[in-house]
Amino acid sequence: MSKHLTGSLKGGSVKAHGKDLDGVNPAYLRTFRYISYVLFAGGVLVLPSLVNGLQLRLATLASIWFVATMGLQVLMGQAGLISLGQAAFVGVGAYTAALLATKQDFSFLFTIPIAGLSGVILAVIVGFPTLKLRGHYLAIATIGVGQIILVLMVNWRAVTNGMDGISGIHRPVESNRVFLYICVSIGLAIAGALYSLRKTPVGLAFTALRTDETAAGAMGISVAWHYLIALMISGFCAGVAGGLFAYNEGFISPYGFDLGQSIVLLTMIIIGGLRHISGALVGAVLLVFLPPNLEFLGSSYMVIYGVAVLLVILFAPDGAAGAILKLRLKFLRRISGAQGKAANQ
Amino acid sequence: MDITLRQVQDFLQVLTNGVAAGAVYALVAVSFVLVYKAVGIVNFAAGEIVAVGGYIGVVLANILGLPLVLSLLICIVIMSFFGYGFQFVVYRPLKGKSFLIIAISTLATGIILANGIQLIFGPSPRRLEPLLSNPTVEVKGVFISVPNLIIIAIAVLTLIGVKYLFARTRVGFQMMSTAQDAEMARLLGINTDKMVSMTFMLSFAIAGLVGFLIAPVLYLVPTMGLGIALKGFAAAIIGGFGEVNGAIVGGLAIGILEILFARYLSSSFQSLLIFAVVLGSLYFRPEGIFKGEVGQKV
Repeated sequence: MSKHLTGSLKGGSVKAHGKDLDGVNPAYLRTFRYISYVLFAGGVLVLPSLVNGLQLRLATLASIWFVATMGLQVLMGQAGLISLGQAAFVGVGAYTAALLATKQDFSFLFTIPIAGLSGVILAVIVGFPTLKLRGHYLAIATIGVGQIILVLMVNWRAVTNGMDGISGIHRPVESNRVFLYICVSIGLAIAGALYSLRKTPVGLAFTALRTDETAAGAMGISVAWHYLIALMISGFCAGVAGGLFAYNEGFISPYGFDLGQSIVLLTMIIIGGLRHISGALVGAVLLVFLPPNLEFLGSSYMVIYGVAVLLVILFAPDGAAGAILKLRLKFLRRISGAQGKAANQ
Repeated sequence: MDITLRQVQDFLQVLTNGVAAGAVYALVAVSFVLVYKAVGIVNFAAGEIVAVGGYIGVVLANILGLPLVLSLLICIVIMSFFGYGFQFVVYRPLKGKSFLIIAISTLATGIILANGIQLIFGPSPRRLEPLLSNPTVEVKGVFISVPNLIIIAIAVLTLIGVKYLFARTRVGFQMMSTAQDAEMARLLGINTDKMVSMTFMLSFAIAGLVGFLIAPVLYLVPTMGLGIALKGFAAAIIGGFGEVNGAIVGGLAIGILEILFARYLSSSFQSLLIFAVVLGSLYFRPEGIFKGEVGQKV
């Protein structure tokens, strides 16, 4: 019991939130926020029109993985659970969208939500038996489900066409650039929904569960139910990402939905920053754009991934997004100076 | 339906292979459960650690040309030191951190190990030179592979040794009390840090032994860890997480089930079966075959 008490007193990010902004002039903070929103919106609108060729392709992939990684952020960063099968959820979404698009002639507007829904259904199937138990059961069950899905993709030829995969998935738009804008808008819409979720009872319950599961349960938060919601959100994001992925590639096969890809997605959110939704964006952009530029490392780049994850977890658990926010705070404190302190008192 | 002698012989042959595979899974599961019981860490690098053991065996026996038994002993010693060092990466600096953080650090260690092996040895399969040229014996028409027999024998001896350690020896009792309630054990004068270190060493020694044992039978590849770890996790879950007895029974059950399934039903859906069994056991019997407490206490 004493362990739990000290844990919740020291590690509570709820409390930390209020304290972080000490010494910052609220007016400066507000201005800074508006400026960064404008810069961000401008960047999102303008950057896709500037990139070309390979960079355009990478930007599309980054925005797709951003969607999948946001799901992991909710599950891991907010609810404190771990999934090692995110790529399988992505794969189910991709196959759902691909099958609906090629065999049933469903339009893009329907396949993407249904792909998201398929991820939710898989989440219920996986989460229902495991989430009443401790967290590590989910981790292992998600590896297991990932393997099952992979075996089905490879061997259930009647539906999935095995290793040959499914081809002939046509994008709703001709232009690569317009498709990138579509992916980015879907990503931003989901990000907006997830941002507003954080202030709702469900979002607060996630934080409570992550901080101290026992105490949260004692406060009347339904532990298993909220974990299941987190997994369903994560599954939805993965399913949508899978759908977008299928359209983007035009062809899908079991490659790219294995445990390796799950680990890449996990690496994205950890290096980007577990605690922040923006971490999903930072991580996806970093891990999509860096590998093609790190080719001189050859096959050792997976070792670098591992070392990077380990170092981030050991020394900077808030990742790149956390570091950026810390810099912001430092900057705001400096420009606030004595004035900010006065305003706070 | 007539059952011929040939079918019976075939069945027995398949069964011994299953028992050998099961013995390996049981050892992996025990190695993994020991650490879980002692410090509550789910070690996602468990499979890669087995792989490291196998590759150390290849270096000692094939490349340096040491005799097999000596290589095995050296391999086990190296692996124990590895286990001692491992805790300074994933356990001690992260004490008191959430399950998530620790799980990720073991996962990252696993990635580093698997890809480190690939960097050093390359992706092509390696194999420990087998001891015998004709490695099967025939008993009434049933062909049994000798490496499999050796695996079963060593596994049984090891498991008896582990059981003896925890049931009869002072160190074993101290390790067990540390696992059960570290604070209480420390109050009673047990050096809990030392006990945790010893648990890590024992766990890694067993993992190294497994790697060495399978090296002549299976080909070693850098990515082999995943498959082995999955079977070990599955065995641990079926047996009830954190139960040494359960891990043994779970390992055997998985080894036998999977090989019978592959032989008589379908080899391409073999790994589906294992995880279906795992998910099924989570639905219906999460406390494992031997009843134990696993549910969340609130």
